[in-house]
Amino acid sequence: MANGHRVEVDGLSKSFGDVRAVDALSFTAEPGEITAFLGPNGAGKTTTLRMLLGLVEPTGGTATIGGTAYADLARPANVVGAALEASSFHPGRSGRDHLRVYCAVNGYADIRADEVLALVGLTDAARRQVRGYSLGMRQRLGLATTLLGDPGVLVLDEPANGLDPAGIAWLRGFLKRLAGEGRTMLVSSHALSEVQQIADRVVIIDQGRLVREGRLGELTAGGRVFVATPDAERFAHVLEAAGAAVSRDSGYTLETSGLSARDVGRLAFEHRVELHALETRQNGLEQIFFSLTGVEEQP
Amino acid sequence: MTALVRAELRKLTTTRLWLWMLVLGLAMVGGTTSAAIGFAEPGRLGLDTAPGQRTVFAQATATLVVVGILGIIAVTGEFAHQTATPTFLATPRRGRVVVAKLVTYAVAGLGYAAACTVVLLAVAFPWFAAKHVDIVLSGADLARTLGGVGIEVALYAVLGVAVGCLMRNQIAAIVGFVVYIFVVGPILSGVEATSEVAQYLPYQAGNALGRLTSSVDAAMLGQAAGGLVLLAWALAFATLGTRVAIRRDIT
Ligand SMILES: Nc1ncnc2c1ncn2[C@@H]1O[C@H](COP(=O)(O)OP(=O)(O)OP(=O)(O)O)[C@@H](O)[C@H]1O
Ligand SMILES: [Mg+2]
Repeated sequence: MANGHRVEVDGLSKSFGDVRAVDALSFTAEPGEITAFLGPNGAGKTTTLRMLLGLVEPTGGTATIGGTAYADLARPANVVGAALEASSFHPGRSGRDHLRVYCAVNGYADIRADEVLALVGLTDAARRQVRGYSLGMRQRLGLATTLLGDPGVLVLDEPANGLDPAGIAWLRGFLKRLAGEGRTMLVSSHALSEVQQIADRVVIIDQGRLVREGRLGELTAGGRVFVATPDAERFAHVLEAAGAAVSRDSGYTLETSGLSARDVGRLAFEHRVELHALETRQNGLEQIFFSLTGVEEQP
Repeated sequence: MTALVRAELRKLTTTRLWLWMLVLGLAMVGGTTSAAIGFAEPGRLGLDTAPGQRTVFAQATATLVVVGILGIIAVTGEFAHQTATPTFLATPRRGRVVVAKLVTYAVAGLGYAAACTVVLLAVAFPWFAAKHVDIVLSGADLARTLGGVGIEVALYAVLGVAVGCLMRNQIAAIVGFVVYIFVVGPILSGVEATSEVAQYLPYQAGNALGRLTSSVDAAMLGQAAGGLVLLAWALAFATLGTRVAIRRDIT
């Protein structure tokens, strides 16, 4: 098992002049879990991750990895792997040489560069200059860089950016596998449907402040029950009498919240209502995101 | 620290820049040496005089332009290509990165100076022979000039790295450096009013270290004093540059 550490952000703040980019932000990310770090553009995600990694000096608060500030880690690459920009490579250097620079810094054998290139599927492009890499290939090279030291904590800023559908599916499996190995995965993303498929926990921020932190299941729980019945109007009254909120989509379908599918089914049975469909629908992460961040879906 | 220097050497040698800069350096030294001999006039700096010959054999000094630029790019390039992020992630104690760069580029500077000195000698000796001018410099005298220039070039590589730390804008840093070397430095040394002070500035202190007499009227320190002054400048800039690099937010 990889040696995951708890990531703890505590009261972290950063001001750039008048801009309060991060405001008294606290959350944690645990080993063996994928923690999705979400928020609209400019919410402060990248700034938070950069403070966690000692690249930006916080105005206040602390961020630690296994109880230690990043800058105080003796061998950071063995503990934390981080990829922040889609492209932090010299365009005239090959992907393999890029990795070998960091092998030299950390004292890893050069063969490690070829190993991580194989892990991310870049072996064929290894000796080509990065200027000829697509955005997706650069993302993979960034990911390869994070894996050099086989770290227990991975911090990734929008790793899905620029990946094609096959690449996204690959990344999904890759991140799940890394978390399954016991690593702490802190991943920022705008791809909410992707996040909903892989995240264990979700941290949502807006304008530098935490708006929600919790398990994905808890956030999306308390879903609605969808019912299709030719007796929609009568059944709606039954459900309302039982304390549910009901929305009538047509004369045929109903969506209720406040009752479980079991309760709805029992009521239908008791009142002899003919059911054609009975289905629990979870709240979508996207809806939750919009309601929490006050950002409206564009028409 | 050896690991960091190894990494910096790898960065330097895994792109083409080092090669182009070397070609540029060799061409410049070939050119300046030819000019120093070809356009030399009889007089106190004539080709048959010791100061005149020292000036010819100090022409590898032109290498300082390319290693200075190389040092600037070593730092500003990390920000331009955003490799500063993985670099400082790998080594959060940023001062160590800067020191590794200073050491690496000082060594690289010596290497460039050595290569350019070969070109200098390959141009100068046959040309003197063809002109039937005897070399009046002793071997030790010649060695002091060539060695002084080597150290001068290495110190300019250090200055380049330091300037790169101090200035975020790569183009501005390079232009500023080149303008200082080709315009501001020579003018301050050449003008009588400022000549006395200018001998303590990097340009003329470097000339003293390389024993290059550009004009007999310009005030110039002795070789050892000039070397110490240039060293002091390099260390001062390096210290300042390191402090700036440590404090800067990498966004
Ligand atoms: N170097 C900087 N100087 C000034 N302001 C900055 C700087 N870096 C970030 N900011 C500001 O801080 C705020 C947070 O930016 P940040 O990049 O952390 O957001 P983000 O959540 O990563 O956004 P995105 O989803 O677009 O990547 C923004 O208002 C941004 O303009
Ligand atoms: Mg961002």
